[in-house]
Amino acid sequence: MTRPWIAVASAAALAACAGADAPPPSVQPPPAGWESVSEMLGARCASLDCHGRPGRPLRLYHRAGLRLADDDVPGGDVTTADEHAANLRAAVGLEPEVFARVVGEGGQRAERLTLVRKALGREAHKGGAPIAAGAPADVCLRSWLSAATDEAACAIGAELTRP
Amino acid sequence: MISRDARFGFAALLALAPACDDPLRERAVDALGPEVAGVPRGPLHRRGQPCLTCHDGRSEARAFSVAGTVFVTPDAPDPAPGVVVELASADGRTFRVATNCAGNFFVEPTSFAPRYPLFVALESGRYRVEMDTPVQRDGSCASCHREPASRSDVGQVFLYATPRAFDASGCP
Repeated sequence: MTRPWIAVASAAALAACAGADAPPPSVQPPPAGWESVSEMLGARCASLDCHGRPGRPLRLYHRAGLRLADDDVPGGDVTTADEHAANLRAAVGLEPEVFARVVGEGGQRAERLTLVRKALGREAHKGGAPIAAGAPADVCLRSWLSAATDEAACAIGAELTRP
Repeated sequence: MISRDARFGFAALLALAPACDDPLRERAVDALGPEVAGVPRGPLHRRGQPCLTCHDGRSEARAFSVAGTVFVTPDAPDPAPGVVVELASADGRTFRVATNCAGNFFVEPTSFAPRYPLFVALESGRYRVEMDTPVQRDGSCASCHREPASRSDVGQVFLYATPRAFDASGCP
């Protein structure tokens, strides 16, 4: 009698592991504009001392931070397509069910996502509030969640200016 | 009635508690290895290592908010003394500190505690170079600037990208 349960548990465990590599099938991230969002998140969150550190939850890759390929180094010219794809999996995979609901409702009440709350500093976050409410980076993220990515806002949001 | 021995034991446990509360920290400190022979503990020791691993306010070591080591070039172990490190906090405050003969610099939180992101620049005479990306949360330069450079490490902090004459004559 125990064997079927072992099989079920194994399948569940495998499914859980697979979730780390690919978005759950029920989640359909907005297809357009992700690379611009990824560049913005990379610039603000993916430095080597934050989410660009291996082992950190929401691991993010960026041309100036952690690289995906072993033969790449921080400070390269471009964030690769594979890195953007990995960032998408990280962002979606953080809370797939909540993400699906937010996207399914046109990006409404995006604060349901830990990603958004932490970015805005509305939840305890060691990195503070890397995105200010209403700023271009915020507009960028919310626009993507509503499937209408504001590329211009993302481009501005990806720029960090020296005070 | 508590015996004298019991009181002593309790006091000893209390004294040890802060040092034993974080096995990850202890492991990180151990991983730094012993002091280099001939370089005593102090401002010149452990160049190139992540200073805040120990200087984090949780041990007898002085607490630092930002600290690191500047080398002359990316590929050689020569430290760069007398370099001015400019730290520009996100709230507009700026703090400048110079490297010592080991290339080390350190800032105590009572002098300057930055709000992140922190923008860094190095100056030597009229030469100035700015770090491409800001620091987001870690005051130890060497947390990211570790050797060798890899997909997750930037390599040591350097002043010049290519070999150039550097005057370190004021140092032993």
